[in-house]
Amino acid sequence: MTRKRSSLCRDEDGEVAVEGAVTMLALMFLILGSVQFGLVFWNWNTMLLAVEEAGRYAMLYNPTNYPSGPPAASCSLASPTLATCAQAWGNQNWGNNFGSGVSCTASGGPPATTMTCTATYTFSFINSISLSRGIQVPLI
Amino acid sequence: MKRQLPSFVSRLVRWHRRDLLGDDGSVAVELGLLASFFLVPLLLGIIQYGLYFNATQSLAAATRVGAEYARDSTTCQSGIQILLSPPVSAACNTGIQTAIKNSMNYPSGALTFPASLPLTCQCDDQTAITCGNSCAAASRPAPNRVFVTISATQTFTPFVALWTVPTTINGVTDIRIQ
Repeated sequence: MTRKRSSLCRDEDGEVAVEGAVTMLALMFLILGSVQFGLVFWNWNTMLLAVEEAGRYAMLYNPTNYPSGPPAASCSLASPTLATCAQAWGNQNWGNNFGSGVSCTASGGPPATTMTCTATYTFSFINSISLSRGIQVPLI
Repeated sequence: MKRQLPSFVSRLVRWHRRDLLGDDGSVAVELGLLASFFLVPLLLGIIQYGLYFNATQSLAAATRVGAEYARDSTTCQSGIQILLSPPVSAACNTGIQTAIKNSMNYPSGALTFPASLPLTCQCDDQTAITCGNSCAAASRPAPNRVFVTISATQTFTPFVALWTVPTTINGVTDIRIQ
């Protein structure tokens, strides 16, 4: 009995399999973590593009050059304002897959002098990560 | 007669010899070496480059806002005249710099700007011409194209000074204004 137990303790068969399993676990976390970071960075950059597009729209159709609001051809909203049209432009170009999308707020004036556009997205893969990117553009 | 060492000394010597020559703990030592000379620097490098690339992208986006201001704002539409000296008026230059700084809430003093914004000119066949010269007069296809180069520089402070990480970031955007 005693001999049997001590020979089991010394037995090294299957050591590679056990070590492999432990290493695989660590490797798996590393790979999943890399995938998560990849997705986060992709979203992070897409959000920057979305807010940039919205900001560019607001600067282009600024209230000084377009006092009666942005041209109808660029915005199909029922009651268009510069902020809602810029927001729609940002979403239409880049942000359709974002949970809450781009949101733009005009400030100063009237006419408004600054537009702030923010994209927020709560991202969930292994754990939940909240991403937010904003841009502020002058309208004069 | 052979002299005997006291028994506790010989026991100590035997114990130490076994401890020093054995390979117990070698895995831990190897892991320690690997971690301190390879894994931790690797991790820090990855984080540092992530921050660097993020700052680069943000600055590029900020100069695009400045460029859009140069094209769209009424200040710059009347403030960039190729025949004036300097061709970009002070009000337009200040407006561009403010737009770049505010776009991403850069703290004051974080960015440096060139003293003047360079203009470059082309004819419609994309060949260069001196700004102010007429393409039509030079028998080249009109209209003239005028471009302005918007740039900003930011100092990047790495948290571990690695010689591979650049310490300045340049953001540049060229935009056609005419």
